Amino acid sequence: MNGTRLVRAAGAFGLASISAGVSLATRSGGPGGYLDLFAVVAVLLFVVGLAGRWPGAVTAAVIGLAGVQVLGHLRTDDAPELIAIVALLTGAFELGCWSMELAVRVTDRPGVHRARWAWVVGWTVGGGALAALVLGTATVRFSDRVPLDLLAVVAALLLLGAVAAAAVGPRSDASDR
Amino acid sequence: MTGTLSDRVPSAIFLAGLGLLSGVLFHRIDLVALGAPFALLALAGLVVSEPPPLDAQLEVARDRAVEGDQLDVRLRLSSPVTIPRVEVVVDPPAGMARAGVDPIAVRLDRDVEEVLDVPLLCERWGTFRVAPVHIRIRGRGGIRSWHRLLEPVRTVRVHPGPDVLRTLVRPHRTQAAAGNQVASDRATGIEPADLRAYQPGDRPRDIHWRATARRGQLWVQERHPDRATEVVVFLDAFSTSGFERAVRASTALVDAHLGERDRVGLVTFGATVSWVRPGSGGLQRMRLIDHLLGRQVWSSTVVKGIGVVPPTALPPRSLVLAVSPIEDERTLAGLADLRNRGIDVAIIEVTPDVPEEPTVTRLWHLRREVVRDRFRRLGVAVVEWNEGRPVESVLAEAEAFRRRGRRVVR
Repeated sequence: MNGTRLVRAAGAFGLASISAGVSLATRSGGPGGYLDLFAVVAVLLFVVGLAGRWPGAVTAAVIGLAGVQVLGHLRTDDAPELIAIVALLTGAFELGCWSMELAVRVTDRPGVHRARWAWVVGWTVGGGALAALVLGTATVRFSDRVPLDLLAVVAALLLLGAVAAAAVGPRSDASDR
Repeated sequence: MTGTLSDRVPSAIFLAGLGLLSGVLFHRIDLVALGAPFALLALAGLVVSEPPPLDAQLEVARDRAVEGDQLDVRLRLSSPVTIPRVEVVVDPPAGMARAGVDPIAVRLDRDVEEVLDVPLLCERWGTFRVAPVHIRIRGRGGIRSWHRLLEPVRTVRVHPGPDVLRTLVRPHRTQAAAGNQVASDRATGIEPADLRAYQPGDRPRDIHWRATARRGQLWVQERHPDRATEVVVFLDAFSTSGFERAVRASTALVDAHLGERDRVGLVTFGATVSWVRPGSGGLQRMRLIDHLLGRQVWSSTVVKGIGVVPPTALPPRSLVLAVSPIEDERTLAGLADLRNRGIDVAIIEVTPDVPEEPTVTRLWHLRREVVRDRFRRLGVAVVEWNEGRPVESVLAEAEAFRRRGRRVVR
């Protein structure tokens, strides 16, 4: 077992578990005992995805963990918990994907992981900050209503742009030497 | 340079789309908040499309090595920008292996040259292009990576391992040039041959004083001169079976005979026929080894005789050492033809793969025995060389047969 990968996978598992724990501990209703089972299944799926290096399983697990948060907070919106969950899920996703990239044993020279650690921490914190920003915009009201239409347009544009860029896929650059 | 996206970008796009769209559908801002970081993550990866500039130079320490040697390969990397992670994998050709196990990952700081030693182990003989190197540059966060292949820069010839031969097959005939082989002729030399009565013209220094004193008249010591021989290594390239060992044995023979100051040539007889005329010295050794390392076995049904080889490549007074699995009729006919022309031939039989079916195996052995017997009756030593048996003992057996043959066949 690659020790470097194990550390990242353990960290991702830890963040996913904490996310599930926070969601369950702060829930304000939802489908009762089934939510606990749902959370356990999501965490297990996350572990299976990491062990088997299946990005699809990790993605499904993140959806599951997000679902635990959403289903557990149908009645009330707890902003601080939600911000924490977003940060934790972003961190878990980043660390999990990183661990999957490290499946091949590589002799690492010093400083190789420095930038990536900064990236993961930055995205974890940044994810929370972005969630806070989104929640903040929800309080902005145009003509006495939340600008969900505006958010939907922005989201659709973002999504279209992302899909279009991804469709281009791998490419050869002119700077080939 | 080829750029690829990380596997997590499609996942991030999916998560972002699901969160944002479900947020709009269910009028829940928490779903939008959950999807937003992933949307940003996907975009962050997609906006970076240019690979960071990287200068990579591959250096190979030498162009010749011996089996088992470690070949020093050095890679110099530098970039005008900082690259967080550059992964380097040397892809050794078949017959070579990485001396270190793992690929290497380095951080490249701006304008700082990084030198990576990626030694290769020469596992078997041959000619290799060293070495394709795969370089993967990961962008920030590893979202986008670029792959670059450094083409091989040098051809390295790996010689077969040193197989020192102390016993050699002695030729029946020698050449006029001086060498290390004791000739059967009588002339000026070191090795005593016989005593005879003094003849006018004999050198006084050749007088054998003890015999002269005993017999009361002048007797002289006759001596065998030390002569060079011409040895032609005849490599059968019709069959793949045992070809690698055949080349190894041929290299050992070339080395040993050149060490004895013989003139050594080479004939490769197969789908393609090639030869190196006999010669001596270090340059000839290089020529022969390079020729051997470049040989391959090609399938062919063309009937060809030994006549395609020019007489200069097979001198009449030479010793032909054939290394062959004695399977192909064209080789057998060629060797028999050489013997019938009076050329001194010895065959080192590289044992090919044995058929698995018992009945076939018996017939196969029988047929081979018939072939051996056919050559032995022609006065050709045929010595079997199995896997694991040193060439030295094979040559000793061949030499013993030829000594017996000298007494019986002549």
